Amino acid sequence: MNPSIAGALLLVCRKLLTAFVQLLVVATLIFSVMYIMPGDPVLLLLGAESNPSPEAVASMRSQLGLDQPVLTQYFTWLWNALHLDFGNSLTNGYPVSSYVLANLPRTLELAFAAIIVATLIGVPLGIAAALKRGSMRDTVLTSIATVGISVPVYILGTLMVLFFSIKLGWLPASGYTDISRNVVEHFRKLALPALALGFGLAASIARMTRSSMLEILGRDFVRALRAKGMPERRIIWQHVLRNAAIPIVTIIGLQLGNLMGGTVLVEAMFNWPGLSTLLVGAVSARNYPLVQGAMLAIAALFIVINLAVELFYSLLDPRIRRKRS
Amino acid sequence: MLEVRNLSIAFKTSAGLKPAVRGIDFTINPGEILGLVGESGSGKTITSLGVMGLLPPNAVVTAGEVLVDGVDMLKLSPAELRKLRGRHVAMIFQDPMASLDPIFTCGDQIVEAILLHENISKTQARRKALELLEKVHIPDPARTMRSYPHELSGGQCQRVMIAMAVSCKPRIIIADEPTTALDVTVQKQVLDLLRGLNQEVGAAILLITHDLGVIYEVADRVVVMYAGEKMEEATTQDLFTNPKSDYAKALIDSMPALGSKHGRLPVIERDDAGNVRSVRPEPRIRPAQAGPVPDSAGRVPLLELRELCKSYWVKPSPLSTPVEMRAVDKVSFAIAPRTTLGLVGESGCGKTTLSRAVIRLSNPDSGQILFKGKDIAKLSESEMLPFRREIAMVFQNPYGSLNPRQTVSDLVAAPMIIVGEGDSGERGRRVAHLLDAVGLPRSAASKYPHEFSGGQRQRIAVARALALKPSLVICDEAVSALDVSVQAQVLNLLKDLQVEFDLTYLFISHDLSVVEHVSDTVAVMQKGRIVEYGPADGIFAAPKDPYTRMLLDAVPTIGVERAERGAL
Amino acid sequence: MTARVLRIARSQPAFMVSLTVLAAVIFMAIFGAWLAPQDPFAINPSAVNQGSSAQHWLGTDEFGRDLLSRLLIGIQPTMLVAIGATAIAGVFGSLLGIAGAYGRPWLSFLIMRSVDIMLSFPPILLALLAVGFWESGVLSLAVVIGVLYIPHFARVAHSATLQVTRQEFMEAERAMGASVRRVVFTAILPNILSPLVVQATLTVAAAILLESGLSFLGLGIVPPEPSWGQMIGTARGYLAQNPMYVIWPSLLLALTVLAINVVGDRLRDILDPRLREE
Repeated sequence: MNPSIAGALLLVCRKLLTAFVQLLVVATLIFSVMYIMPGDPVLLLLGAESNPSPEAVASMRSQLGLDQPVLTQYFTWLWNALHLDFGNSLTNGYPVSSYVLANLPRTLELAFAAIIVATLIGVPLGIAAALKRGSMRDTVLTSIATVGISVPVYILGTLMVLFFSIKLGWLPASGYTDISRNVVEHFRKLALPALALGFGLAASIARMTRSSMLEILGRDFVRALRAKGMPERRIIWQHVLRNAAIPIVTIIGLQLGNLMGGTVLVEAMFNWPGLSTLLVGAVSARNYPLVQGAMLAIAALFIVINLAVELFYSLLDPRIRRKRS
Repeated sequence: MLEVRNLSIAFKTSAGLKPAVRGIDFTINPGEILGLVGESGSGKTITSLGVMGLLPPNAVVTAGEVLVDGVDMLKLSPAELRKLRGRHVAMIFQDPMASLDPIFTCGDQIVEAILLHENISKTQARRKALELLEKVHIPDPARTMRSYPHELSGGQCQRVMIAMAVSCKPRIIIADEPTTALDVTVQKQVLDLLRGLNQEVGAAILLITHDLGVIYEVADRVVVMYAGEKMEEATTQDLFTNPKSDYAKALIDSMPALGSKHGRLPVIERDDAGNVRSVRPEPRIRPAQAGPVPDSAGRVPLLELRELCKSYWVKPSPLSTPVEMRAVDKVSFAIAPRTTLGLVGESGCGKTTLSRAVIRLSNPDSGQILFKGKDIAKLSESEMLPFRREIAMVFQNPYGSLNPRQTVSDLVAAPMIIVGEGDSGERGRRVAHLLDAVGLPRSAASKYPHEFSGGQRQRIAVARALALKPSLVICDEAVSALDVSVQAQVLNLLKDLQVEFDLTYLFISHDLSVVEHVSDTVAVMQKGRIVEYGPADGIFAAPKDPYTRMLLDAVPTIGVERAERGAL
Repeated sequence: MTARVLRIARSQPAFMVSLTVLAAVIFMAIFGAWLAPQDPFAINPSAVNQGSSAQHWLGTDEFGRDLLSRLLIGIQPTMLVAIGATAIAGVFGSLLGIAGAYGRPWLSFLIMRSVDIMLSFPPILLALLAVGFWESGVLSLAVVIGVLYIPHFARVAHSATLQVTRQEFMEAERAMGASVRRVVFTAILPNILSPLVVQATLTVAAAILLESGLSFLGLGIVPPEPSWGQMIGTARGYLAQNPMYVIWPSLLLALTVLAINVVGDRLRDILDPRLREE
């Protein structure tokens, strides 16, 4: 077999294995968190103040499977989780997986919309700043970016609601409309959360794009290309950008993972029915199975996205693609 | 053809302009090779960048003209300048690997360079690229076309760079330290190639280097620079037989040259008026308190290696099983007390691995390391401690081997602190004594390493090595990072200290001239093995092993006729 | 180091302004309760959600409490959480990071893989989980956020230590027979201090954002005790009636984080060893 293809395959296999192990450990952690937390979950669930009867406690215990040995519980839980069965919601008995599967695409949609906004704004601005390092344009752009990363997403979101919804009345302040029901309304409601999430991200993408561009611009080969008489424009487009693309794509990908965290606040403030809303609701209601399911889904999403980014990155860079020992 | 007139370049600093190059003039005639030689900081590289209009943003040309066929390059618009670059003037850089774009194949990059200045089809350009690679004697041109830079060796990358530079038949090639990053045998091949191309293509070459040997080998005329100024301009023949300027004289003197062994190397001194001259310092006399010279005749060697092996396990390709790479393969040698063994070899031959194994920074796989007759190869870290007093090491990089956050006094006292010797007062006295011994002022004790030059830092490292009065000092490329004149000072110092402190040296270097200068015994290492071992005089006079002969041939040597060398 | 920072601060207005803002915020965090013109907890149902007036300079909240007074005392819990969390993350994270880079292979494998796994959770999710089930207060928030940022610190300490261990002076220390303790405290720590200082400023900023985010969701500082994040969260319900209610804490919070980020950025440039040697 061609050694470079073999190397790439090996790389893919190893990354897959790492991701799987990571997921397993994460699942174990999520499972054990319920035991580390202070207080008897059953009493918490039934409400210790209401002084529940011993029968109610016992029935709840067996309903949750808590009367079995911890290891048995663990493996049962893990086995079920592998089949996407996270048990049933404690409040209404519906399967947790149906909630997770319904909310997952909405979180993904929000995250992708935000990352598109952020990339479209951040990358060009970062490049523009790097190409004129030290100029007025650079100073202004980097200052804006610093402000951008410092304003918390919920402040930005709140201010946007204040301006676009309350003052101007252009966009709805919150909520969700399914795309099958009304396409225009769906995107109108997506706009504010995606922009709020995307702007802050655009700032950090712009900063990192700028520094990777500067790093590449300082390399010896750029000087060698100039010595060959290559037009500056072509050096930038043909060589610098293509080299910088590798770190930039990685940065964007990693940000996509971090967005899972950012969505928590944005979903909550815009009533966007995604995984985080599900999780926040479940935490407040002490709905353990739902908490576990939502957590695992979010962590899995994070791990899968990072895996995809890493694989993409290795395929982009010949140094990693060809040589890995 | 290329004429530089009164060129001055300065760096912009917060304290105003700081001149780096002052009023340099030189001319390159068609077809000749002009050498531009100087030590680090002499302004030779910045001159070449100024000629190409490639100065870094913090440097400015303050005066002068750069005329190419009568046109001042400094006055050209960026577009006009670009047309000149690559087509009329091409450039080769010091670090060939970094000078190629890592994400394109070499073939694509050569084709791109050709198409920049020539109006031919892509297929024609590919064919031409292949021819160029053949012309620069790359082993497998077709494969090189498909290879990425990181898949080639440094020498191969430099050949690709040269192929690219000559692709458009430029009139002038500026080569900035083209062989400094390469091994001596590869250096010879690249220099031969450059000279061949110079004759074949007829391009004039501006060769910038710190290495007088390289200049002697290939240059027709030489410009000597020092501290941003031109010291001398002469034909190569005249410069080496009859240097006019004091600096050039001193520079040539201070270089240890093969076949010319002196006890001491002259060093360059600068008097208060700024004039430079060459001084051959007298050896220091063994101080009275050092006691009589110990009688070492008939005693066991201080250090003896027997069949020492150290392997690494590497995977040739991702899926294959790891194979053993013998970095050190059954190495045996012995060093008598108060002598110097020079261990010489090219990069990757295993000499560094060997030195790390001897001082037990790594564990040898098999074999013995007999220190004063006791095997230390298998000792545990704690059993090794008493021996760490006896064996000290001076590292290659004077910038990296000193902890930047410690004062000189802490650095030099470190070995004493580690073994818990003496109180602070006693340590202070010893540090002062050591600073005297290595020729540093006592005021140095409270300063930090970054306040010193490379040569001074190496003196600090030597002082630290001597803190516990060791008997064996391992010098791993200890003078390789230093300029010739500074190197001479440190070599003299090492010789003085050997007499004064009864030291035994294991002196590791890639530089044959330096090894010949310092060694009593020499071991030549190739691919983990010692291929030749014996008294220094014998080996340098009559090398037996073909590899030793090849190494010796490759060293550019002053005083040997070029034609004669070419015939070898 | 300090002298150098101050010297550079004088030539960079943005840095100077940020340091001043930070000093003011810290002053507010310590003396806020004394500075407050009115009782921050005094409810006045007749003056609910008012704008600026002579009596209430910045207006009142939904219970008629004086906004200025609440803002003045609202930074203290946030600052305590941020500094406590940074201290926890800094000490444990640095030690783990150094051990991960310099320790035995199995130990560093264990540490760095755990760090990777910890990093695969967005911190806010874990924080949410922890404060959702635990009681939330300054101490528990500081501990939870501190623990969550240990892996970030460990990463920075790890890569900085790896860079240091590649230098020759580490080999020199070993060749002299230096003990692990000496290597860690004289060779490694002083040389990785700069990135750790930068990471500490960034962690303070991140901890402030995290605490205020949780408080914004109603899961952080418990009312009636105010914190800026919590005030923003509450004010969101009164956007139409009293828009300035949300503006004031937002402005202060954003300004504080901005000041910390600017200081962190400048420190990174000042302490970068590549830029130090000129």
